[in-house]
Formats: sequence, structure tokens, C-alpha cells
Amino acid sequence: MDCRDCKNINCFVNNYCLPNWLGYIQYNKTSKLLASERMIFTAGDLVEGIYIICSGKAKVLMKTHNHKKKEKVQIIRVAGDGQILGHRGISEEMIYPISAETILESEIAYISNTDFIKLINSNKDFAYHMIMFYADELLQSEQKLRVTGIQSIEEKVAIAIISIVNAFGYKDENTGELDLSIGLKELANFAIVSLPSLHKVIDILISKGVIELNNKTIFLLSESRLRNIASFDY
Amino acid sequence: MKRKCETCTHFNCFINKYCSPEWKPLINHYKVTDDYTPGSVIFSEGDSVKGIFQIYTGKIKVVSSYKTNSERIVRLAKTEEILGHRGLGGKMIYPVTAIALEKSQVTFIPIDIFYKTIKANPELSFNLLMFYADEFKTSEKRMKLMGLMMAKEKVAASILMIIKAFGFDKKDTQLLSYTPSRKEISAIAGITYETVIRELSILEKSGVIITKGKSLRILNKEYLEELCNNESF
Repeated sequence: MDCRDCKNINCFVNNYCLPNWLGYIQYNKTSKLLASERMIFTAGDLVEGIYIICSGKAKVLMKTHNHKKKEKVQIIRVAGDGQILGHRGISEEMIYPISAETILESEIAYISNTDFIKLINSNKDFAYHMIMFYADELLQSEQKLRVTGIQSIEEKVAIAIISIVNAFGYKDENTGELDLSIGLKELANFAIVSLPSLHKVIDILISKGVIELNNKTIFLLSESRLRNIASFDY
Repeated sequence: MKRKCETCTHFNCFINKYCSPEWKPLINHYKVTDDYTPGSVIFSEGDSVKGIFQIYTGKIKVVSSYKTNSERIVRLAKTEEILGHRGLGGKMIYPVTAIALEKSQVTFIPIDIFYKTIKANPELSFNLLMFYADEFKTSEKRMKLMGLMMAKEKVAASILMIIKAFGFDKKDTQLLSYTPSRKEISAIAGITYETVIRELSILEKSGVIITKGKSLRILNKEYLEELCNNESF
């Protein structure tokens, strides 16, 4: 994708950088086309730049331990086109604490640290929106981690579905068909519930008329009611 | 009397360090500085965000109490640090409460002025961004690790967090410059008061720390760091 002629309205670079900088980024970025389920970066790698999803979808994975100290891979974020990947790596240490993997075939652009810093220093709107993005991520992550211990499975699933709506939007706005992209097993992982619990909650939500299930496709009938169930400032 | 940003000697303050000189009189014009006694609240969870705070003097704890009655300390902050940044973004409502630990002076900058300052001072916005990135990563790491830790390790991590925030006494390099109460340490570690007392006395018996009334003396910081696998909080 060419930055100078990009139609992606979700991309921070496209939205908030000055036109002559878009040309600069076009010449200095590296684009990769990745098939589904390919690693974009791995935990422990050195952070040498930042990634933007030009098209496609990705998931961010964190290694955690369950109560028996057994290792488990937890999906902590899903991201859609235009979103930034790898911002968790930027700090004093500059080492990724998490891994990222594509869900679908994706085009990923890579901007080196030096270019990223140049962008921030020269594009005030971009810098401002990056700050707000971090502020939001901090807020969401703290709420999520703090709350997971005391939520019901219904709340957890509602939060997971809302997060996916926020990241991917709808496949069809009119019918409310979700652009889920990940399987139910992964949805259960993302929500931090077991697969049987997920099925139970889906049945409850169907009986309440919040969602509808048709051939493994989930239709969200009332986003506002689901947000209420999530009782979460997303 | 109003203190002037132009002549301020707090060189680590974000505003002082990263704003161009011509912006300082403007901030000066709009800022408001208030005095807080120990225990008084600077902003509360649920309040709407009207601006950003900068600590001039004193020490502050940032507390969250989401859905539960027990408080958890999420951050300790001191002189020259920024306060209330967790409120920015989203619905612009504070998710945390800030309480003064000792007599403090805190400066308030209205949000529209702060936004203008960010946009006009690239160095400020860049360093603010890095500050957020760090806070974000530390916060996630802390929550992830704290869940797996034993009481002893949690106490060690809490002491390290206090050292990182407030440091040691200038004259006595083993004495903590500020020791929060035992109850506050339990709110940092997320364990009960009794467990904190027990773990501190175990650490004292093995010669890692010495308790002297309320204050703590750290004899073997390396041991505490080892307990936490050399992760920083």
C-alpha cells in the first residue's frame, strides 16, 4: 500500500501526519505480506521499530502462568487494519514483552525507531494522538487486569466481544454480523473463560436477545445492552 | 505569591525541561497551585478530568478501589512528577484517586492549555509519550508478576517500588527517605496487614532489613532484587 495514496482512515500515520511526511514514510517503511498465523515479532526480541497493520488482522499473545504455574499463552489484544502493533515494546529496555501473530493474511508496515521518533517530533497531531492512544491503552489494560479476578463469566465474555467490535468493527453493520475472525476456542482464551463456559454464556446472551447465532456466525443485536453487561468504560 | 515557571529550579519537571521558554509565561498564567495536608484528596475516582497535575513538593499515593472496598496503591509519586495522567483518554474520568502522603504543593494546569502545550512542544510530547509507554509496560508487568508471587516476594517487590519512587535518605544511604505505613505497604503488595508484619520480621531476622519504628533500613537490596528475579517495578 502506498502511504501517499492510502485510503485507510484508521491509520494514525495517514490521519495525522503532514503530506510531505507521508512521502517520507513511503520511502522509508518496509512492508511485509504475511500469510495467516505467521509471527510478526516474538517476545524477547529487541524493539527496532513499530508496526502498523495496513490490511488484515493480528493478535497479541502474552505468556502467563495459571494457578498451577503451568505456562499458558493468553491472547491479550486483537488488532485490525490501521492499528499499531508493538507499542508495548517501547520503553527503557526496548525488548518485546509480548508476541504478535497474524490472524488473517495481512500487510504489515514497519517503521524504524529513528523514523518513528522523527515522525513524532515533526507531526504534532500524530504525537498528540499517540499520547492519547497510550493513555487509553493504559486505562483499558489496568481496568481489565484489575477486574478479571472479580468478574462473572458473562461480563468477561461481554468485554471480549466488545473489544473485538472495537478492533474489527462489523462485517455487516445492518445485520450486526460480527467480524470475529478468531475461532470460539480463541474467543474463550481472549475472554479468559473455558470453552464450555463460553457456550453457556452464548446461550444466556441468545435467550436475552442480545446476540443471535447462525451457523457459527455471531450477530450482535444490541451493542448497547452488551456494553451494559460489560459495565466497562471501553 | 505565585511561583514563576520561568525562574523555576525544578529542572526535572516535564514542563520546565521540555517546553520552549516562550510557553512558560503562558502556563504560568493559567496554572493554579494548591497546598494539601497529609491524607487530603487531590482528585477522586469518578471525577471528570479538568486538567493535569504537577507535584511541586511532597509525596503522593495513587490508589484504585474498583468494585471492592480494599484500596490498592498503583503508584507512588514525588516532587517534579506528573500526576493524573491515568485520567486522559477514553471518557476523561479518573480511574484512580490521588492522596497526599505528606504536606504537598501541587500545581494544576487546565486541560486545554495542556493540550496546546503538547502540540506546540514536540520534545514535551515525545517525552510524555515515552513516559506513558513506560508506565504502561511497568503496570502490566507488575500485575502479571504480582499474581504469581508469594507474600515474601510481594513485600520485596513493594519495598523496591518504594525505593524506586522515593529513594534513600541523602545523609544515610541505607535508610528509606520515606517509609509508607505498614497498612500502605499492604495496599501496595495486595496482601493483608498481618502478612506484611510477618514477612518484614522474617526479612529482619535474615538480616536483609532493619525496622526502626515506622522507618525501614535496607541492608541487602540485592537480595530483594533477587527475590523478584531482578525485574523492576
